[in-house]
Amino acid sequence: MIEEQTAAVDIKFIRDMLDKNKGKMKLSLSVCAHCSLCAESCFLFNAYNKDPKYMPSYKFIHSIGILYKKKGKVDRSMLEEISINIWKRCVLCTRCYCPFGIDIPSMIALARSICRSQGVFPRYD
Amino acid sequence: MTIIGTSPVTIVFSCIFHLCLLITPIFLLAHNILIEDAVGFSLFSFSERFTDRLTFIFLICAAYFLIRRVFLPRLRAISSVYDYVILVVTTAPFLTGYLVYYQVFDYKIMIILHMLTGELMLIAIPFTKIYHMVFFFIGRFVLIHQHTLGKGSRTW
Repeated sequence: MIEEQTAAVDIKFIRDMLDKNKGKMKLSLSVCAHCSLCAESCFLFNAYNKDPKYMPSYKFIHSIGILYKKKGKVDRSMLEEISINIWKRCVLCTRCYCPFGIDIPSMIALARSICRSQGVFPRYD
Repeated sequence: MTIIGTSPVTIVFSCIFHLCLLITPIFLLAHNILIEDAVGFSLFSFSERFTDRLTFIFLICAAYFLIRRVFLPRLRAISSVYDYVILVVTTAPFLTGYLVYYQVFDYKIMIILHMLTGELMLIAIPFTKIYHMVFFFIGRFVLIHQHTLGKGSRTW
């Protein structure tokens, strides 16, 4: 496990995963009008005193959004930061609502897959 | 709860903003006179007083969006320069048009600015977020949510 945590990030692998889902993800990211109307649909947002960090749009912009922006060129610490947004701040209940119909859960799920492929995921031991 | 229930003010401002954005330039007297000169026919026009008020309401709504984006923490968390640029690109033709109508500043410069900003906005439609102008209607049929028209075929 220690080996896994210190290993270098496989940028090519991440980039392949990003390219495979490029169409829908890039469209979703560019369609998002940053209107914040999705905020109240997240029960965690309501539970954490309306902290903007729990907004569905914040979560996908600061996970899959970063990955596409950096074109997969991320290091382990960046993936660790992303993992907070997609695991600690999201339980993937799929109840988030976007007026444009952006499929937010699928974006979070892809970000999770990418992090998991690099050995970044929450451990409970 | 629907988004109308959670953010009623924003939804009302947003609806008025978009209606004014669409209606004002199409039924504006001066625009229709130009179209009539060019093609020989045009749509009917509202009175100048009415479109003038619509423009003013539009500008108030735009100001609301700007203030919201600058001061609300939840919007500050996700706003980028791009969001401000889009707001400016959308509002500029209306602001310059308003100034032209009241002949504030130099009329010639303002009317040229009005045309340029108007063209800029039209050019920007297919390349920026403004293409929700088209996808709004497609989404109403394709996605399943509270405002769906038709059956919807969302699979996720």
